Amino acid sequence: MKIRLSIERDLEQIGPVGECLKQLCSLGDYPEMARVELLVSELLTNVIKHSVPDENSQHEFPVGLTVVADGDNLTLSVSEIGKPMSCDVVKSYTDTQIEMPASEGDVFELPESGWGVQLIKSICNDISYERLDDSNVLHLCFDLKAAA
Amino acid sequence: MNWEVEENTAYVVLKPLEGRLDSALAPKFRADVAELTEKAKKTLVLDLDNVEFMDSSGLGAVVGCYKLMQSIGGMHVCNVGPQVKDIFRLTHMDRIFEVNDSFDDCVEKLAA
Repeated sequence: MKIRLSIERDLEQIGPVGECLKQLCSLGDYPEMARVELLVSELLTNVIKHSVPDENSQHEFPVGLTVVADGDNLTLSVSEIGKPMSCDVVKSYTDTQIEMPASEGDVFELPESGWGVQLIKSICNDISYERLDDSNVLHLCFDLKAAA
Repeated sequence: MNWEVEENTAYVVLKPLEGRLDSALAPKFRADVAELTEKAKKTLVLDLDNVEFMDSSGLGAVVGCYKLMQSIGGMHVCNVGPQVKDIFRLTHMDRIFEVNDSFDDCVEKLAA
């Protein structure tokens, strides 16, 4: 199964996209799609909030989302036209580790942001980035059976 | 965003009436909780019965509320669905929050 969607850079679009994807995938007999919806939400939020559009561009390009399911393996790819992702941003997808407080009194140290990459890292088997022409493409792979 | 609010002498129950708590709603969620609990100054029971989907932005907002309530009266979470439970588990927040399966369990603990 392969699904390709084009999405406006608008946080309000993420909910309908997640719902739509969940419905489409349920037709393909995939038992557990809640984590797919979560990954899509995290990826699209990051791209919409943090990507740097190319100021030389005359248009507001949409974000592309491709979902490929092959057996138990699912790959999500998000592409957007913009300036290249910095090495730090790319590394954050694999290196982020939020430390939990050692004691109850330390809960004020808990961050209120940054949980998205932590979630992506904990769910996915493989995360990779590539620069294709003037686009940033992020690929996430995970095992549908492990999510169920 | 829309809420159901109930209050008694011991706690205030805030129940969001939205099905998704994501980046589109999280800032409003955080601001509403701050406003509603500022008036009540009591323990917060956050009833997530209607929330079928939460992402990291929603989680961050709940963490913010939890930190805010530490100096007021604490926060308990109840009626957590499978997806929200999964995100709490993946981030180990189930070790931080007082998470109850039902509202009745939560009230029982508060009364103890």
